[in-house]
Amino acid sequence: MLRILILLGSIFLLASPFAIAQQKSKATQVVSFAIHKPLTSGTSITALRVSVGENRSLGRMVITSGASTGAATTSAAKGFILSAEVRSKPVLTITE
Amino acid sequence: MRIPIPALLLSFLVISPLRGQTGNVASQTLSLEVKPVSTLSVSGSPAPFIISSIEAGVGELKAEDRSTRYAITSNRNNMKLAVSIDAPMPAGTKLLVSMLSSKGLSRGPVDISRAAGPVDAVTGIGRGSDSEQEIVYTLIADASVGPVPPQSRVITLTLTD
Repeated sequence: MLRILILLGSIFLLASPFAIAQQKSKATQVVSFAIHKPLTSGTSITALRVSVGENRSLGRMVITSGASTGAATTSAAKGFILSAEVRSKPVLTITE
Repeated sequence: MRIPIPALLLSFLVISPLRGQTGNVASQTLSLEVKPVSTLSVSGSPAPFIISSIEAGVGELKAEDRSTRYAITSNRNNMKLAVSIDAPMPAGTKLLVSMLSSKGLSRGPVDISRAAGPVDAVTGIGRGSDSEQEIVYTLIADASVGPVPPQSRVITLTLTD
Protein backbone atom coordinates (compact mmCIF):
# COMPACT_ATOMS: atom_id res chain seq x y z
CA MET A 1 0.00 0.00 0.00
CA LEU A 2 2.76 2.38 0.98
CA ARG A 3 4.60 1.65 -2.27
CA ILE A 4 1.50 2.46 -4.24
CA LEU A 5 1.17 5.75 -2.39
CA ILE A 6 4.83 6.58 -3.06
CA LEU A 7 4.41 5.68 -6.72
CA LEU A 8 1.33 7.87 -7.02
CA GLY A 9 3.16 10.74 -5.31
CA SER A 10 6.07 10.39 -7.71
CA ILE A 11 3.76 10.47 -10.71
CA PHE A 12 2.09 13.60 -9.36
CA LEU A 13 5.42 15.36 -8.87
CA LEU A 14 6.62 14.42 -12.34
CA ALA A 15 3.38 15.62 -13.86
CA SER A 16 3.58 19.08 -12.33
CA PRO A 17 7.05 20.51 -12.83
CA PHE A 18 7.70 24.23 -12.48
CA ALA A 19 6.80 25.57 -15.89
CA ILE A 20 5.75 28.92 -17.28
CA ALA A 21 3.11 28.34 -19.86
CA GLN A 22 2.41 30.22 -23.05
CA GLN A 23 0.36 33.34 -22.41
CA LYS A 24 -1.80 35.58 -24.51
CA SER A 25 0.12 37.25 -27.32
CA LYS A 26 -2.81 38.94 -29.05
CA ALA A 27 -4.70 42.11 -28.31
CA THR A 28 -7.43 44.00 -30.12
CA GLN A 29 -8.41 47.62 -30.43
CA VAL A 30 -11.52 49.14 -31.92
CA VAL A 31 -11.10 52.08 -34.26
CA SER A 32 -14.27 54.11 -34.83
CA PHE A 33 -14.58 56.78 -37.42
CA ALA A 34 -16.94 58.97 -39.37
CA ILE A 35 -16.45 61.57 -42.04
CA HIS A 36 -18.71 64.55 -42.29
CA LYS A 37 -18.58 66.22 -45.62
CA PRO A 38 -16.61 69.46 -45.22
CA LEU A 39 -18.53 72.58 -45.86
CA THR A 40 -17.77 74.85 -48.72
CA SER A 41 -18.51 78.50 -48.99
CA GLY A 42 -22.15 79.13 -49.59
CA THR A 43 -23.26 75.85 -48.00
CA SER A 44 -26.44 75.96 -45.99
CA ILE A 45 -26.65 73.87 -42.81
CA THR A 46 -29.95 72.60 -41.61
CA ALA A 47 -30.79 71.11 -38.23
CA LEU A 48 -27.24 70.69 -36.99
CA ARG A 49 -25.59 71.68 -33.76
CA VAL A 50 -22.85 74.05 -34.80
CA SER A 51 -19.99 75.45 -32.74
CA VAL A 52 -18.61 78.76 -33.88
CA GLY A 53 -16.61 81.55 -32.36
CA GLU A 54 -17.52 84.95 -33.65
CA ASN A 55 -20.15 86.64 -35.74
CA ARG A 56 -22.85 84.29 -34.62
CA SER A 57 -26.51 84.58 -34.12
CA LEU A 58 -29.09 81.94 -33.44
CA GLY A 59 -31.90 81.52 -35.83
CA ARG A 60 -30.14 82.74 -38.91
CA MET A 61 -26.45 82.06 -38.38
CA VAL A 62 -24.03 83.84 -40.62
CA ILE A 63 -20.36 83.00 -40.34
CA THR A 64 -18.26 85.61 -41.99
CA SER A 65 -14.74 84.67 -40.93
CA GLY A 66 -12.49 82.38 -38.90
CA ALA A 67 -14.94 80.00 -37.32
CA SER A 68 -13.32 78.53 -34.21
CA THR A 69 -13.33 75.02 -32.85
CA GLY A 70 -13.34 73.44 -29.41
CA ALA A 71 -12.32 75.50 -26.42
CA ALA A 72 -12.90 78.88 -27.96
CA THR A 73 -16.55 78.10 -28.43
CA THR A 74 -18.89 79.71 -25.94
CA SER A 75 -21.98 78.06 -24.58
CA ALA A 76 -24.13 80.65 -26.22
CA ALA A 77 -22.87 79.49 -29.57
CA LYS A 78 -23.82 75.89 -28.93
CA GLY A 79 -27.36 76.07 -30.08
CA PHE A 80 -29.53 73.80 -32.06
CA ILE A 81 -30.12 75.89 -35.07
CA LEU A 82 -32.36 75.40 -38.02
CA SER A 83 -30.20 76.94 -40.63
CA ALA A 84 -26.87 78.58 -41.12
CA GLU A 85 -24.89 79.83 -43.98
CA VAL A 86 -21.16 79.81 -44.55
CA ARG A 87 -20.14 82.85 -46.46
CA SER A 88 -16.36 82.89 -46.35
CA LYS A 89 -13.74 80.69 -44.75
CA PRO A 90 -15.22 77.20 -44.87
CA VAL A 91 -13.71 75.83 -41.65
CA LEU A 92 -16.21 74.54 -39.17
CA THR A 93 -16.53 71.96 -36.43
CA ILE A 94 -19.94 70.43 -36.52
CA THR A 95 -21.33 67.97 -34.01
CA GLU A 96 -24.61 66.35 -34.82
CA MET B 1 4.35 -21.34 9.53
CA ARG B 2 3.43 -18.18 11.37
CA ILE B 3 5.66 -15.09 10.89
CA PRO B 4 5.61 -12.59 13.77
CA ILE B 5 4.20 -9.16 12.92
CA PRO B 6 7.35 -7.27 14.06
CA ALA B 7 9.40 -9.37 11.67
CA LEU B 8 7.03 -8.51 8.84
CA LEU B 9 7.30 -4.77 9.58
CA LEU B 10 11.08 -4.96 9.75
CA SER B 11 11.33 -6.71 6.41
CA PHE B 12 9.06 -4.09 4.86
CA LEU B 13 11.25 -1.24 6.05
CA VAL B 14 14.32 -2.94 4.63
CA ILE B 15 12.85 -3.16 1.14
CA SER B 16 11.02 0.15 1.25
CA PRO B 17 12.37 2.97 -0.95
CA LEU B 18 11.94 5.29 1.99
CA ARG B 19 14.67 3.66 3.95
CA GLY B 20 17.23 6.08 2.43
CA GLN B 21 15.46 9.10 3.87
CA THR B 22 15.21 7.99 7.40
CA GLY B 23 18.62 9.41 8.29
CA ASN B 24 19.65 13.03 8.64
CA VAL B 25 19.94 13.60 4.87
CA ALA B 26 17.05 13.77 2.43
CA SER B 27 16.87 14.64 -1.20
CA GLN B 28 14.20 15.88 -3.54
CA THR B 29 14.09 16.31 -7.28
CA LEU B 30 13.01 19.69 -8.55
CA SER B 31 11.87 19.88 -12.12
CA LEU B 32 11.80 23.20 -13.90
CA GLU B 33 11.21 24.55 -17.34
CA VAL B 34 10.77 27.96 -18.92
CA LYS B 35 8.67 27.78 -22.02
CA PRO B 36 8.52 30.45 -24.71
CA VAL B 37 6.51 33.31 -23.26
CA SER B 38 5.06 36.19 -25.22
CA THR B 39 2.52 38.59 -23.80
CA LEU B 40 0.95 41.65 -25.33
CA SER B 41 -1.50 44.16 -23.96
CA VAL B 42 -2.95 47.47 -25.09
CA SER B 43 -4.21 50.37 -23.01
CA GLY B 44 -7.61 50.51 -24.68
CA SER B 45 -9.10 51.75 -27.91
CA PRO B 46 -8.55 55.13 -29.55
CA ALA B 47 -11.20 57.82 -29.45
CA PRO B 48 -13.50 57.95 -32.48
CA PHE B 49 -12.12 59.71 -35.51
CA ILE B 50 -14.55 62.37 -36.62
CA ILE B 51 -13.46 64.32 -39.64
CA SER B 52 -15.67 67.34 -40.08
CA SER B 53 -13.47 70.13 -41.30
CA ILE B 54 -10.90 70.80 -43.95
CA GLU B 55 -8.85 73.74 -45.02
CA ALA B 56 -9.77 75.14 -48.40
CA GLY B 57 -7.54 73.74 -51.11
CA VAL B 58 -6.29 70.76 -49.10
CA GLY B 59 -6.46 67.51 -51.04
CA GLU B 60 -7.12 65.09 -48.21
CA LEU B 61 -8.86 64.84 -44.87
CA LYS B 62 -6.68 63.63 -42.04
CA ALA B 63 -7.13 62.73 -38.39
CA GLU B 64 -4.59 61.26 -35.97
CA ASP B 65 -4.80 59.53 -32.59
CA ARG B 66 -1.89 58.99 -30.21
CA SER B 67 -3.86 58.17 -27.10
CA THR B 68 -3.18 54.44 -26.74
CA ARG B 69 -0.12 52.43 -25.70
CA TYR B 70 0.99 48.83 -25.84
CA ALA B 71 3.23 46.66 -23.68
CA ILE B 72 5.00 43.43 -24.53
CA THR B 73 7.10 40.86 -22.72
CA SER B 74 8.89 38.02 -24.44
CA ASN B 75 11.76 35.69 -23.71
CA ARG B 76 12.32 34.99 -27.38
CA ASN B 77 14.49 36.86 -29.83
CA ASN B 78 13.54 38.34 -33.18
CA MET B 79 9.83 38.63 -32.48
CA LYS B 80 7.57 40.92 -34.44
CA LEU B 81 4.34 42.80 -33.98
CA ALA B 82 1.82 42.35 -36.75
CA VAL B 83 -1.46 44.17 -37.27
CA SER B 84 -4.62 43.23 -39.14
CA ILE B 85 -8.09 44.67 -39.64
CA ASP B 86 -11.38 42.77 -39.56
CA ALA B 87 -12.93 44.50 -42.57
CA PRO B 88 -11.64 46.80 -45.31
CA MET B 89 -11.87 50.55 -44.86
CA PRO B 90 -14.41 52.40 -47.02
CA ALA B 91 -13.35 53.35 -50.54
CA GLY B 92 -11.34 56.54 -50.61
CA THR B 93 -10.11 56.18 -47.05
CA LYS B 94 -6.94 54.78 -45.52
CA LEU B 95 -6.04 53.73 -42.00
CA LEU B 96 -2.39 53.81 -41.06
CA VAL B 97 -0.88 52.53 -37.84
CA SER B 98 2.55 53.24 -36.45
CA MET B 99 3.84 51.44 -33.37
CA LEU B 100 6.86 52.89 -31.66
CA SER B 101 9.36 50.45 -30.11
CA SER B 102 12.49 50.53 -28.00
CA LYS B 103 13.17 46.80 -28.42
CA GLY B 104 12.65 46.42 -32.14
CA LEU B 105 12.53 48.22 -35.44
CA SER B 106 9.34 50.16 -36.09
CA ARG B 107 8.23 50.12 -39.71
CA GLY B 108 6.66 53.56 -39.27
CA PRO B 109 3.16 54.24 -40.59
CA VAL B 110 1.83 51.01 -42.08
CA ASP B 111 -1.27 50.97 -44.27
CA ILE B 112 -3.71 48.45 -42.81
CA SER B 113 -6.77 49.61 -44.77
CA ARG B 114 -7.19 46.22 -46.39
CA ALA B 115 -4.91 44.11 -44.23
CA ALA B 116 -7.04 41.02 -43.80
CA GLY B 117 -3.80 39.21 -42.99
CA PRO B 118 -1.19 40.46 -40.51
CA VAL B 119 1.09 43.28 -41.66
CA ASP B 120 4.37 43.80 -39.83
CA ALA B 121 4.49 46.99 -37.78
CA VAL B 122 7.55 46.23 -35.61
CA THR B 123 10.23 43.64 -36.39
CA GLY B 124 13.38 42.32 -34.73
CA ILE B 125 12.05 42.62 -31.20
CA GLY B 126 14.57 41.34 -28.69
CA ARG B 127 14.07 39.59 -25.38
CA GLY B 128 12.70 41.48 -22.43
CA SER B 129 9.84 43.83 -21.86
CA ASP B 130 8.79 47.01 -23.56
CA SER B 131 5.99 49.07 -22.09
CA GLU B 132 4.20 52.37 -22.62
CA GLN B 133 4.96 52.35 -26.32
CA GLU B 134 2.84 54.68 -28.40
CA ILE B 135 0.35 53.51 -31.02
CA VAL B 136 -0.42 56.13 -33.65
CA TYR B 137 -3.49 55.74 -35.83
CA THR B 138 -3.98 58.01 -38.83
CA LEU B 139 -7.19 58.18 -40.80
CA ILE B 140 -6.84 59.68 -44.27
CA ALA B 141 -9.65 60.32 -46.70
CA ASP B 142 -9.62 61.83 -50.16
CA ALA B 143 -11.21 65.25 -50.21
CA SER B 144 -13.58 63.91 -52.84
CA VAL B 145 -14.89 61.10 -50.64
CA GLY B 146 -18.49 61.42 -49.59
CA PRO B 147 -19.71 61.48 -46.00
CA VAL B 148 -19.03 58.22 -44.14
CA PRO B 149 -21.51 57.28 -41.42
CA PRO B 150 -20.11 56.31 -38.00
CA GLN B 151 -18.60 52.83 -38.07
CA SER B 152 -15.87 50.77 -36.42
CA ARG B 153 -13.13 48.34 -37.25
CA VAL B 154 -11.46 45.80 -34.96
CA ILE B 155 -7.69 45.96 -35.14
CA THR B 156 -5.84 42.84 -34.02
CA LEU B 157 -2.25 43.14 -32.84
CA THR B 158 -0.23 39.94 -32.69
CA LEU B 159 3.17 39.36 -31.12
CA THR B 160 4.72 36.45 -32.99
CA ASP B 161 7.97 35.04 -34.33
